[in-house]
Amino acid sequence: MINDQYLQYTLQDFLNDDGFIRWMSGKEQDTAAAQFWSEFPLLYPTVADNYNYAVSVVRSYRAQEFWDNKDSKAHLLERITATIQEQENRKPARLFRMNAWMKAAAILLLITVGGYFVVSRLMSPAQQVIATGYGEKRTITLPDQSVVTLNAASSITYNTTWNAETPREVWVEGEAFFDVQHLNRDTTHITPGQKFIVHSNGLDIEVLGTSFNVRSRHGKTNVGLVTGKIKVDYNAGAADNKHAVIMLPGDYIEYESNRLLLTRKLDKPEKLKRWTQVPLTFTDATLGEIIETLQDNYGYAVKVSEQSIKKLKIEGDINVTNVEELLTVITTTLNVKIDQPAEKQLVITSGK
Amino acid sequence: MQSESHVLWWNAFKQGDWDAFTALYGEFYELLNNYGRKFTQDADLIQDVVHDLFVRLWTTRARLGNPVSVKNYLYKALRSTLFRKIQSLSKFVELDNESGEGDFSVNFTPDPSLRHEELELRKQVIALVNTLPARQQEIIFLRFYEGMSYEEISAIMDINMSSTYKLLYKALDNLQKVSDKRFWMVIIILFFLFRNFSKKIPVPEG
Repeated sequence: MINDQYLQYTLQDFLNDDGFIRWMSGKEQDTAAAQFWSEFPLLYPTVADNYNYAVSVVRSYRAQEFWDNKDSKAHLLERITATIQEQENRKPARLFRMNAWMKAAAILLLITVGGYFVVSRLMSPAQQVIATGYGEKRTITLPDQSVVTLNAASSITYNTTWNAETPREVWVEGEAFFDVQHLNRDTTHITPGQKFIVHSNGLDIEVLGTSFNVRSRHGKTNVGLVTGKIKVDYNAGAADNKHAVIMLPGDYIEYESNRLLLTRKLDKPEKLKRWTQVPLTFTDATLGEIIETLQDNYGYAVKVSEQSIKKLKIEGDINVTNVEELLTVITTTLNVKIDQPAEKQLVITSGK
Repeated sequence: MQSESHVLWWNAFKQGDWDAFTALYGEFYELLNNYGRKFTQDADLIQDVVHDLFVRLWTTRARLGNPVSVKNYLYKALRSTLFRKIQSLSKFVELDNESGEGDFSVNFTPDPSLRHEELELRKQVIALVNTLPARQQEIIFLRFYEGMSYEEISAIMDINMSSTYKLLYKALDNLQKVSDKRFWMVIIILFFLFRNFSKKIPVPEG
């Protein structure tokens, strides 16, 4: 199965090879082709060095920043919708130019379609949406008795009735801690209804019965597992390129716009749960992380005199019950000054 | 590389299905922003271009064909919308590129899981690529980041196949010259760093 063409492959040849490039960018759908490229250096040891060069070149170039501008996504769609509506309104209304028969047909169609929507509305299960405001936290018991703690400025959506034929599914924005009821007793035979799936910002987290934390803010999602085992499905590289990771207790992953940024083992996974008991809790947090929590969970607008102070770190644990206490901890441990020009506004400057 | 849902959405959207249209928007918004960002740092300009692109898609939907790849079609459309916009703006704004196509640049993203030496090396590779002329940088981006074939690149950049080969060759050749061997030093060190890693799991990232 040795192909002579590869025996002389130079760096340039690799970079010119569409198949090699497709595989390097994670777009190769054909498993045989993917396997060929991953085993290439074993098949052609004489050109293994060139192969490794080529892999390094492409991999280091691919380490570049992905600019998704997610914050403007919803707003821009509104703008596009508004422009389109405006343009369509300028066209003459078509109905007036129809003859009587066409009008009758159109009205009949309207009634049919309308009726269909009413019926399908009634048939489909009702959805429950629970959202928290700034500084608010809620504990929710799901239809299967699983318990979810919802952090501030977050939301969860689920169907109010669950059945044994379909997986239990919830959709989360923001941060939530899950304690999922284990319904499955026989691991060799798992029915759909025993599965529990959490959808959050491009991730599908599939579990049987576990406890874990999901946090999805600013287009970035992280998942940390405390007990049990979960499977996380995500898109990698090009959209529609499905990947999955299996997580074990203590595993922690971070995901953003089609790629895993980070996977690591936590020293103390039980700390993931602490925010559900203590209002404000941090471990070895940077000032930047604390500011993010103040903005995301409490709705503060925070200004810093210079970006560099966001990197300042408070070693150890912080456990406080309110924002005032937190600010006191910051000013006593870090060399910074905090002003509060208005309610929900903070200005942090370096030096006392 | 065409995914099934892209085709479904595209066909439904051409029939006037608004949900399919917003699904396409949801699917490609980030990729288009990232591609646009390579030509300009002006975030507002990119937003305007994506806006114009999607408005035009909707209003001309009845006349649209069936592209081989929806993504590549949108890339090409974004590119031409952007250039047209930059050209009309250039009456007011001075552009430093003679082709009027603006700059092409990539930024390095720090990956906390990497060691310091690797970070430095990656930064250098990106810095070297950034010294190339815009068009050469663009072809490197489409080739190595988007993983496109020569055929796809020639369609998006609107040049014929042999020019595409030549352009990438020139880009790689320049990279070598520009760097006065520095680039090859980087690659050689990278090679040693990744050597063991590549043998174990040569799985591409991304």
